[in-house]
Amino acid sequence: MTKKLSNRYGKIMILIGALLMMPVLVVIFDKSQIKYIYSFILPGIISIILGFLIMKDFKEIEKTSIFSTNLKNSTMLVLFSWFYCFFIGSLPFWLGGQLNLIQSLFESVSGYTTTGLSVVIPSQTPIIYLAHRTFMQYCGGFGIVLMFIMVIKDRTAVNLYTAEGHSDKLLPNIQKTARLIFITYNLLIVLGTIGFYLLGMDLFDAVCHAITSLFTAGFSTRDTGMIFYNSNAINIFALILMILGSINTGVLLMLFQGKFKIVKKITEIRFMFIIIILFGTISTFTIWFSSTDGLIKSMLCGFYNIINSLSTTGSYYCCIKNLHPLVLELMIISMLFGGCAGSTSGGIKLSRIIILFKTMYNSLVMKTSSARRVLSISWNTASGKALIENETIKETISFIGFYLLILLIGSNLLAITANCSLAEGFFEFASSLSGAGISIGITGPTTNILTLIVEMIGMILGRLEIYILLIGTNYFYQHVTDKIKRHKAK
Amino acid sequence: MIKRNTNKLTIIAGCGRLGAELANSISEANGDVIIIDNNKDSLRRLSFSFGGIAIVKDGTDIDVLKQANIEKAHTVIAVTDDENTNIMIALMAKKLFHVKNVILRVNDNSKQALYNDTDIQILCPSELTTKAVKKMIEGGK
Repeated sequence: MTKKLSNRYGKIMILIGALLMMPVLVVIFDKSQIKYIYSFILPGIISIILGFLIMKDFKEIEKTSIFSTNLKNSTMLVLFSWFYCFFIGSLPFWLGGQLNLIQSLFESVSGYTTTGLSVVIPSQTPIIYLAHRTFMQYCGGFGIVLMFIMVIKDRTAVNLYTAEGHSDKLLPNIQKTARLIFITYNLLIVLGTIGFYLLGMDLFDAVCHAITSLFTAGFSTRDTGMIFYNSNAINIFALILMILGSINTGVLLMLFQGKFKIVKKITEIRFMFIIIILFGTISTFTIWFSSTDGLIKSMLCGFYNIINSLSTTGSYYCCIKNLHPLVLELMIISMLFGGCAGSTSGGIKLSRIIILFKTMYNSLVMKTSSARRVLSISWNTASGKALIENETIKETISFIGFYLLILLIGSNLLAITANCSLAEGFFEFASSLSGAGISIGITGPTTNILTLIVEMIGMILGRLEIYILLIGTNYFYQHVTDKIKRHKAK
Repeated sequence: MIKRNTNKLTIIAGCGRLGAELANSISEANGDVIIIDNNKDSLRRLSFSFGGIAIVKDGTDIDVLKQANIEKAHTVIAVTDDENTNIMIALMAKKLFHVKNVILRVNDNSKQALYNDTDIQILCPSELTTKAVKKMIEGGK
């Protein structure tokens, strides 16, 4: 069954072009920004025109019955839309003369992957670019493809949805699921904005911080991040938003519906709170004993850093470099763990960690028991007790294997390029790969190009969950070798 | 997990050849569809771009039907491979949950007494085939 569709690549280019022009709205509130709007309008318009041309002139052939073709098409589309986004999102910084090409690309990648590492100094940057940074994290937090599905009816929407790494179907209709996710998070952003505003931020900062906390992204509009406000209430409110951001969207909806009893039983949620309390307490006491801070202050610092890392937000709270090594280590572990699957956070995801731990425990038990014994792994999900299948276990463990391999290679590379110690490189690369964006001091306006490139690769691999990139690379390789073979045959 | 106000929701019990094809076509037409089957392997019949929800549980379980939001369902289609299961699901949908459209597939019309006094819509392949064949024969004359 073949059918010619109008080109989805064109549609995506139009959408991304339109989204890029959104920060221009800032001009309504601040007239002085008008001199910068060309750097948004120009790439936006070009992208839209190009998109229309492609959509009209190239028809795509869609095969619906063949699994591998389907997988290939959706993988390619997802990869294209993300890389196109990275490129287009970097143009305003570059055209506006704010950053050089690699730096602006870095800022764009860090924005769309909701990492939060930055080479921009907020106080020296026009407000329109700060809005652009926040809006990039807004789009990246939802996922570009999710936005595409929401707007445009597409028969292969599910393939795209899963290819981008979303795991849940909340409603019996994919487009409605996408819209539900969109509405939920927008509602939370509004609530977050009101909260921050009431606690004393100005409106622009409140919107930006609500978005970046909820999407566990981490860009701030102030040089010193959360310290600027010097308010415990704001910090605690930010923590609540971060925790909400690292909870699975389906579970979040159940919380709205008041089904606390079911939520309380979910293994992943329990595990998350155990980790937060355990790691938070250890870091609290470590900070308390190793510094002159009082108990309350060290408690806030300890818990903030742990939740900040676990939810992979990475907003700036205190100078990480001065912390005790034990706290740093706990932070690295929490960053790698990440939040719940199907949330806005990054990292390996807690569900995979739970499967890993349960498998490890089971294999230990098996070593000491009869060979005929059969053990199975189960957990509580939102829809009741579920058995974890062997296929899932295999996939999970190989994912974690890939993740750790990339982590090792990346941190070594970073240590070479940034000329820092291996421990610092490890921290910084774990932070990029998991999408946390907490910097130990390596990344900044003066960082060299190679370091930025290594970190960019880490962030992209982390956000798109490795496999899709490997699959994409495989297709690309096949395509190239096919071309070469044909060329030789001629 | 499932939101309440779904409009025109179709619940299909049994992901066999017929169930899967129905589910695929409804999903492709951008409708809301939930399919229930207690065997995970039969979900393979669903197309790669199936956008609805698949529940791997027993369709005769009231809790499972409630989880599938049967109270809000517009249509329930019972097409498992087991006759008695089909009748039971259809009756539950009609009598307990008062679903508007209930479609039941039966191969053998001998259990008519069970559903005769309800307004369950019956789909009997052998009867339909007989009618179609008759029409073909008469048309051939």
